[in-house]
Order: sequence, then C-alpha cells, then structure tokens
Amino acid sequence: MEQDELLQIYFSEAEELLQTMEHSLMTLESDPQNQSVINEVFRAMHTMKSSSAMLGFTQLSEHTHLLENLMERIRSKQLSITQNLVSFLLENHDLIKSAVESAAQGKPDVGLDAFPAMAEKVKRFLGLAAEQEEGRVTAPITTGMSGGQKESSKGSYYEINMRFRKDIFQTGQDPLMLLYELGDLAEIISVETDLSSLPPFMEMDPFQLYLAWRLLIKTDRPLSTIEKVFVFVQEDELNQISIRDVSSHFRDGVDTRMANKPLGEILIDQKLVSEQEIQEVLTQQKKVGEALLEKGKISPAELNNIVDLQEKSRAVLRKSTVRVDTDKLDQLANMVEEMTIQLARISAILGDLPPDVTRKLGSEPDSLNRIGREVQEQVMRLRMFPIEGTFQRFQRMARDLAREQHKQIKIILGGGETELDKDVIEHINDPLTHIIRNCIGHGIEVPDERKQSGKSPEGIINLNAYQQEGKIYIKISDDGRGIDAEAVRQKAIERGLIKENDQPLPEEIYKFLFIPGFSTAKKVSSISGRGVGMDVVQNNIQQLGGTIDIFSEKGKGTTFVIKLPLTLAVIDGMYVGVGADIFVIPLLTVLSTAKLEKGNLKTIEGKGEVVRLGDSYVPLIHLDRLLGIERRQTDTEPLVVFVSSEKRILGLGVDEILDHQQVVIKNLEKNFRRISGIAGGAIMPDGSVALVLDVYGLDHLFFGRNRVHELVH
Amino acid sequence: MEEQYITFYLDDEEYGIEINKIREIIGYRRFTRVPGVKDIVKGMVNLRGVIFPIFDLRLKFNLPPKEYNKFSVIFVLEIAGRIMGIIVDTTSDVISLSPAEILPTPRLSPSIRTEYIKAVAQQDDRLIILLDLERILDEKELEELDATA
Repeated sequence: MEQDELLQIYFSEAEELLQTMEHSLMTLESDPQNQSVINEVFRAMHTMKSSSAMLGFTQLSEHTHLLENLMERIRSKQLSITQNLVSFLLENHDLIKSAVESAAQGKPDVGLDAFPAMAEKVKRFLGLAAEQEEGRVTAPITTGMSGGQKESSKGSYYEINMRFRKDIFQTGQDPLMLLYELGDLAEIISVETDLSSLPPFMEMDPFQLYLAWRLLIKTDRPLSTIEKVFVFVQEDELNQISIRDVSSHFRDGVDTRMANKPLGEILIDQKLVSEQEIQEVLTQQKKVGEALLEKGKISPAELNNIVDLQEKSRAVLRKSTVRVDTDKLDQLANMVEEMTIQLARISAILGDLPPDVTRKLGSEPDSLNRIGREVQEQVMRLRMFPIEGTFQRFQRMARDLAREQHKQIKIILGGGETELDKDVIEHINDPLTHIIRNCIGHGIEVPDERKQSGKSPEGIINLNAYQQEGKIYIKISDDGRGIDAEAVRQKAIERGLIKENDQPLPEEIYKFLFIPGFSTAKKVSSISGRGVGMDVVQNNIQQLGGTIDIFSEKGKGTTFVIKLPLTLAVIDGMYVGVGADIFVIPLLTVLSTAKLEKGNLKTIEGKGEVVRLGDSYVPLIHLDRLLGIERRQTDTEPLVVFVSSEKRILGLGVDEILDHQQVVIKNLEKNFRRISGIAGGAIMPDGSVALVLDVYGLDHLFFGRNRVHELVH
Repeated sequence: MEEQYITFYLDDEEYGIEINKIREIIGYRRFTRVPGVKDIVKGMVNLRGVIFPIFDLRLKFNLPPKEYNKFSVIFVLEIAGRIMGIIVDTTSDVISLSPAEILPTPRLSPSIRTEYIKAVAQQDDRLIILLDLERILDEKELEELDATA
C-alpha cells in the first residue's frame, strides 16, 4: 500500500519533471546562455535520478545520472549548447518519458532496451567534450546539488532590523562590531542599508550615525545566541532592534515571498528604486522592468539579478503544491454543495419562525450562507489549473513538426497562467492540437515562399489565453498564407449551400469550414490551406459549452478564437417544466421565450412544425415527445423557449418557465452513462435531481430522426 | 467461513446480497426519470451531492411492476467503480450463511435468467436466491440499457 502511494507520487512527479525538462530544453534552443534554465534542466535530471533510484528504477536512475553529468558540463561551460545537443537531450527526454509511462502502466521492463545504446551516445558526448578531467566533472555535482541542498535545509533564517540612536558612538558602542560578531555566528545573506535619514553632506555630523540596516542571516545557532549579540545596545530604548524568525519563508535558501510579489514591489523592498519611480513607470503600459531599464533607473545586471531571484522563488514555491486525488476534490465539492443546499433549507425554515426568534438570530444565518457560498467557490477553484502545461506541449509538437516539414516556426505563448477547469483542460487538448497542426501544415509557408511574399522566413504562431467577460478566450493565430475566402465560397456554391450570386460575409464563409466533410475536400484544402476535420474541432469545443470563430486575411494569416465557459461545473440555468418533470436549459443558449399560439405555428408536410421567431420560422421541438414524457393534457405546450444550437435556432416547447438559477452541473457518466440530449444533472434546492438539457444533443437527437426540418432550413 | 448477506423481498421471493457490497441503505425518495433508457432504470437520485441511477430488479426478473411505498428501500451499491442503487420492496434481515448452506444454482426452466444468480441458500425452510451483482449491472449491461441507440 505504502509502496503504491510512493509510486503514484513518483509517477506524477516524474511527469512534472519531464515536462519541465522538455520546456526548458526548448527554451535553451533559443536562449542557450540562460544559466537559470540550464540549472533547471540539471535540477530536473538530478531529482529524477534520485527518485528513480529510490524506487528501484535502476536503469532510469543510471541513465539520468549520465545526463546529469552531461548537464553539469554544460553548466560549467565545458560544453556549449547547440541545436544538435538540444535535439539529443530531447531524444533522451522522450526515451525516459516512454520508460516512465510504461512503468506507470505496470510494465517497468518495457522500453528499456533502447537505454544502453543511448547511454553510449551520452558517454560519447561526455568523452568528446572533456577527455582530460573525468574526475573533476563528477565532483561538483555532489557538492553543487545534494551537498548544497542539505546545507540550506539546516538552520533558521532571521531578519534583523537595526536602527540605533544617533549618538550611539558616544555610548561606546559601534554597530560595525555587531555586524562582525553576527558574521561570526551566522551567514549573512544580505545587508540592506537604509540611507533615508542621511542629511546633505554639508549638514552631516561625522560623530553621528545616520544609517540603519536590515540583515538577513542564516544560522543553526539558537535565537538566544543571536539575541545576545545585541544585549548591550538593546538595553537602551533609543536603539530599535528587532529579530524575526523568517525561516518559514525560505525553502532551499530561496525567499518564497518573492514568488507572488510584483517585480516593482521587490525592487522597492531591495531599495533599488523608489516607490515614486515605480508609480511613474506603472502609468506607462509596459512591463515594469523594461520601463525602468529604459529610463536608466536600474542597471540590466541589477534587474537580471532580481528577476532571477524571483524566478527561483517561484520555482521553489511551485514545489510546495499539494497533489490531491481529483476524486477527493470531487467528494469535497459534493459535500460542500450539499452543505449549501442544507443551509438554504435551514434558512427557509428559519424564515417561518416567529419574529422574536428571528430577531435573536439576526444576520447570523445570512453570514453562514455567505460563508457557505464562499467555501463552495473556493472549492471550485481547486479544480482550476493554469493552461501553461498544455501550451508548452504544443511548443514541442510545433518544433518537431516544423523540422519535419522543413519550416521555421516560432511559437509564442501568452497567458499561460490563465486558469481553466481541469476537465476543460483535458478536453481542449485535442482541438488545440488539431488547429495548431493545421497552422503548421497548411497555414505557415516554407521559408522560400515566405521570403518571396516579403515575410520573415520564420513563421510565427501565437498562442494566447485570457479571461474576458466571464469567459476564457484561447486565441491561436499564425502569420501564414491565410484562407482563400473566394475558394471556400465557390466550394459552398458547388455543394449547394449558397446560391451563385450570394455574397456572404467572410466570417460566414469561414463557418462553412466547420460543416462535416466540407474542409476535407481536397480542392479547398489545397487552395485555402485548411485541412481536415474542422467539424470535429467545433464539436469538441461545443461539447465544452464553447464556441470557435475563424478570422483570416489572405496572405496575412489566420486566427482562431475559442471561447469557453469559465468552468464546466457551474452554469446559469433556466428551469422549465415539461409534464411533471423539470429540466434545466443552459441560459447561455437561450435567446428568448414566447407564447406558443396558433398564429405563430405552422406545419410542413403535415408533420414537421415550425414556429415564428421575428421574421423567420424555426423548427419546433416538443420536448415531451422528444423525451418521451407523458402529458396530462393532449394539446401542445403553451410556451416556447428559443435556443441556439450553433447549427441553427430551435424552438423548444415547454409547459412552464420556472426560474433562473446558477446550478452545479454533474455528469451522469460517472455512475451511469451518457444520455443523448442530456448534458448532466443538477441538484435542485429540494435535493432532487433535475436533468440539464444539451441543446446540441437535442438538435442531433431531433434531426437524426426528422429529416423534414433539414429541408426547411 | 461464514459470510453475511442482507436479504430482501421482491414479491414473495427472498434474495440475498453480500453485505460488503452495500455502501448504504436509504429510504425511498423521488427520482428523476431519464429519457431514452430502458424501464429497468427508474431514474436518477442525489445522495449527498452524488448523482446515481436507480434500477428496479423486478423488471430484470420479469416480475410485474409495483407501486413504491414507504416500505420500499434503496440499496446503494458500488459496482466496478460506479455507484448505483437498486430499489427493493423491503429489507428483511442480515443472515450469516455457512458454506454448507449455500447450494449451486439448481437447473431451472429456460425462461428464468439464471446468469444473475450466483447460488441459492437454504436456511431452515427459507430459500434465498443469492445474486451476482457484478453480472446484473456490469458495464455491458449498462450499454445494453440504451434503448434508443
């Protein structure tokens, strides 16, 4: 059991390390001198080596050990980074990855045969690079990594603030002595001097002390020993000495507080710039660091140093995340949800109590409810993850595809920190892969062609994620050849989708690409440069409750914009009654509602019914008939809800429109299976279940059976 | 080794389920009907935030349907990682059966679906049909439930 748990931790850790490795290696390709990235690869290899050894994956451990040596050479600048070396390291990464994956599937012996040959290659790299100093190469590894870590994990960190009385020299004390003494007892990590009370030179009295200090020290001696240093100055109330144990902020010798602080704040803390200067540059729409550099307020070295520290801090802090089984999260979410439902019920009961009792209760029930909702929100947030990992995978894919197709492509990632629901992240991978493959395969031209059209030989694909208007946007744009709207229009005419003299807007034309079988047509794909299966992409995205749009300019490039709901878990729903049953329609799809009367209802061929919406007629779906619900009355439903299923607008006939409410939507597949036309279940205030309608599914369910309406539209 | 079973009635027949298969027994509650599934799926219920389906075994065993009442009970089971409930007329009790009391399934007329019956047990003058739950509600069965597909 324990071993199992260890293995689980190992596998998920390995996955993360491999991802870091891959990402960093690719960064190195464009930025080979970046020492902190080299270190990151090195650290990943090292950790991989140790944990593999711990769990008995000897071959993995031995191999990563070799790679670690190789990285050490790079680190110590005995070996310089070339594209070939990066490719070679990526190959190694893939090998390790596949071995880890098969081990995770319970086949630890699969995929190991490739290791000896690869190990030989690594050794060659090692041998070629520095034949003479075999001994020295391995030595720094132990001190550099494991030794270093051990050292830093011991001891406590103290922040000491010292401000002395101005005439301290007259009392026979010298702060410098204190600093020396501290230096003997502890490692002084940083000293900041506060010059703020320093008067103009002419007014300065050399017998006065104008300086104050803030020190950060690390020591394994007890606090009392440190305090003793100040025993003489501390008696005097005019000297302000404070010693604070800040060990909890430090991990592996890195200040983790920096991770979440804006760069500007750190710069102010470190007294490198003033608050005013930061305020000034903040008014410009630029990154703080860049703006400060431009203004000459800070030197590049200083800035790099701070940014480096901040990155280190982030790296260490990242490690401090807790891995939780998603099942446990779901359980927690369920219980919290149930709790809020119970709270609502209790509130309802309380509302019926006599006024003197409710008065006593005051606002307590309300605040309890509010806390409940907040807890629920927080729990939901636990399921959110940054999209960064997904994005990074595409960088690798793009790199490999570009090489294969002899194209030069750069992927620029943005908004990787944007958080998405775990389920969305899992399901967005496929459509994104498809789109990016398309961009690379068909959008971006080969270097020669690009040069001819006056573009830089390197094609650029921008991958960006951000949150706006309560939705998540993912934007993928390339600067390739774009889509030939005219070719698509012609194809649409051929297929009889539009008439010869129809001139739809470009956006409408691109929508044809989502029609099943349309974009697969060879002619279009060769001319327009858009390949197969955009309908599948759209389908996937719609299943997540999202939409996709295409924008393109011939010769300039194409942009795909995907809009997704913030979370799959919570939707705004409209409760409707059909017969004795209650359903939830996602409010996102609802256009309007109307009464269903003879005047606005028409039949086609005596069967299919259409209902009037504005100037047009849309298909009417009787929910009772479609879903097989028994009705007490025989006539049709009195109300219609117009919904948009992306493909078309539909009218849904219902008996009652009850309420609008946010509902937590749960999939039914977990314990049952998928049901056509149903997106999931929601728990109603009385604890019973209401089914959430899936408008796309209903469309499919309906038109799958009923061809008449296809003709109408 | 004696094993514990929980028994219940469907009409006059007494059935038994290994007690460790049962997560919980809850009272009858209103369930939400699901469109497009076989009759054996009575609907979905919510128990502490978990939504799961309720099956009526009567329909599986070709027994006539019956109105549910306050004696109706739902057994909450976990089979192959899925949570599901079966609704039964009434629980009877918990019994311990020794291996000697468990007999192999007797040959029955072909119209009776014996594949769901693991064995029968005889205790005093009671005959208890021991169900093979994994067989009754396994994944294949669930797929078959899709009447519309």
